[in-house]
Amino acid sequence: MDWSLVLQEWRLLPEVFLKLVSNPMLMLTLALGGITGMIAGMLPGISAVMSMSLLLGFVFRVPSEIGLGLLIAIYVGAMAAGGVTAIMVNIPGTPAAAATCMDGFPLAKQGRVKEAVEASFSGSFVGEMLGEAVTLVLLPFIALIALKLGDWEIFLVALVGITLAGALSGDNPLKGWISALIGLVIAMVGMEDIWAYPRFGYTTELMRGFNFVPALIGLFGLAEVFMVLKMKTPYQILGEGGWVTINVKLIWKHMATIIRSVIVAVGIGIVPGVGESAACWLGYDLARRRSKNKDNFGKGEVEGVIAAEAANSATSGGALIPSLVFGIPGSGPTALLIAAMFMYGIRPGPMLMLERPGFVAEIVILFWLCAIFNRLGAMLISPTFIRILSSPREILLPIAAALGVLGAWAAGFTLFDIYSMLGFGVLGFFFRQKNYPLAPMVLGILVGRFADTSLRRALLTYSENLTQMLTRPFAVILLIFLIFTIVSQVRSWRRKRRKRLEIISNSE
Amino acid sequence: MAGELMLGLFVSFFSLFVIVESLRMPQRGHLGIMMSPGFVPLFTGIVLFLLSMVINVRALRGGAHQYIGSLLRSIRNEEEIRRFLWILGFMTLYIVGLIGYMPFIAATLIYHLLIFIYLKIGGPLKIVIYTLIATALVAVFLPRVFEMPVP
Repeated sequence: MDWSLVLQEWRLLPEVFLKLVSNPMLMLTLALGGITGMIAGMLPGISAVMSMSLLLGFVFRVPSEIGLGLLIAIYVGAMAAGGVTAIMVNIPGTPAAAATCMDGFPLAKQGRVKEAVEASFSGSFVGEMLGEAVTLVLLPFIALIALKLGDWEIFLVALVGITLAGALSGDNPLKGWISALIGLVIAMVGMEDIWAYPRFGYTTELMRGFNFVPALIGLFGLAEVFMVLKMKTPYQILGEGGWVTINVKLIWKHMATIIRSVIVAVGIGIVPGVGESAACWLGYDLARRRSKNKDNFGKGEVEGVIAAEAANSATSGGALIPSLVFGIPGSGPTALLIAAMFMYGIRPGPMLMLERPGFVAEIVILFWLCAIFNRLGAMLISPTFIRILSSPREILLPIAAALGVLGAWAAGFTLFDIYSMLGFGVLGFFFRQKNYPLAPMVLGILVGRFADTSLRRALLTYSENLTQMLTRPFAVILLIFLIFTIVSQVRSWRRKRRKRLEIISNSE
Repeated sequence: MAGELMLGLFVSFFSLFVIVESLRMPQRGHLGIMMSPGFVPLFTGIVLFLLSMVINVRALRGGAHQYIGSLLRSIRNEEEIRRFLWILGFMTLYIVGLIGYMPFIAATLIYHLLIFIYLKIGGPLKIVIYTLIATALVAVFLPRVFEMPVP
């Protein structure tokens, strides 16, 4: 790593900042892009990746800073707003907002909608700002670590993410892990990446595999529609009026939680493919372990919402590093950013800082500006969205289901995607009936292929001596953390179960 | 309890299917099964089977098998199950029966009209207004904004 190149980016920050803010067209683009991203993030069925990919065609008609600015604005807006539907409808707008459902939705049901949405936006704003700052400051160290990450580490991060999601998202970690493993199996349907063998490919559509977006919409969206509408009188959420602002007191009170979430998120965000979705669970788990109110997590704890949203917004910083410095996408949206960069003739990779001095600084500043614009946009449009999302569930949810059909169609423009969305919705309904959490299944589907390919490539790499896999320090840390998580979650669940049985037998 | 057992058994049979199919996948290269496309599904299937058996054994110990009959009887009588089946029916009609056979806007209009009538969201005028708004949003406005073709 050439330190002079990194120092160059730090030195160019003020000049690049002035160049960007003095471009009124760019400022307008960031504002409109942010609102588009927020609308996309708040609509169940429309995701950040989908909105970015649908606008990719438009992006090439404008100059690079405006096109990239638009994509970044949509990404940041959608990540921030995904928490709103997670809170108000229990349908996360993006996979990374799944952890926000854990405490956000219970808070909404308690009538504390404004508090939950403010916590979400506050955590998201500070997470985004700090995440980019941490990324820029730690760029050389993160790049060094990213270089040391191999397939074995990528597999372990995926496994840690799935294990945590399984353990935290329900009352029973066994059910969470079953859900996650089923997701892993679903991810492996289709043509696998090493031998191009069609696993479980009984039809031509199955050979293609299940698209992730219909699975997400079915499991999170459609299953929730079935669960709520089966009730004769579904719950109602009454959103309070008034502006949703950044709550400075709340941020100050939970600053330690936010900083921990940001550091974890930036660190995990650098892991290609799996970082973004796993980071929110790691941030949530860390906050829960360190909190004085850990028993309240999962029942409506504001700190849980802040930790999850701070982590999910801060991953963009970590995901940028492998994208910019190595040309390896850290997440779906960063993959689209890389595609846009290639089409503008900008080559991400080790030569980027030499060929385009100031470009990394420009991207970081665009993220900062988008975070600020998003907060202003959130203040303007979130009262309207809260009012809309407070509509009677009998009106809102059928529309959400139809939006889900549109979203599933947009994923691949095939009827199979819509049919699979319906199938996943039915599967999700039966699983939720028996208290199996669905977030681990979604995570399993998202990271399953990466995990599978990474593990087999790692086994091939170390085929001469598999014990060498235990000499890699980052991998050893992850393995210890994994074992600790499994053991502690099982013990904690057995302890709670024993207490519940004692209470029942005492009352008899 | 009976429901736990039934879902647990479903997961167990699913995992057995995964294990059998994984073992049938070809093994290539010098690492044998470890490089096989079936390696990770096999390992996942085994762990899934073991975890599901824990759930099944717990359910059996709680006497779940005694309640299967009453569970099946209650499914027929429970209102929530009937409502779920109706909603599922409307969704299936929309996705499988209407989309692809008529313009998307017409399919969406029919779906919203039927489901709003069933859910009794209000009087006829309210139902018509909400149907038109919902159809306009899903079938006209959003596809235009995002420049996407509709099914």
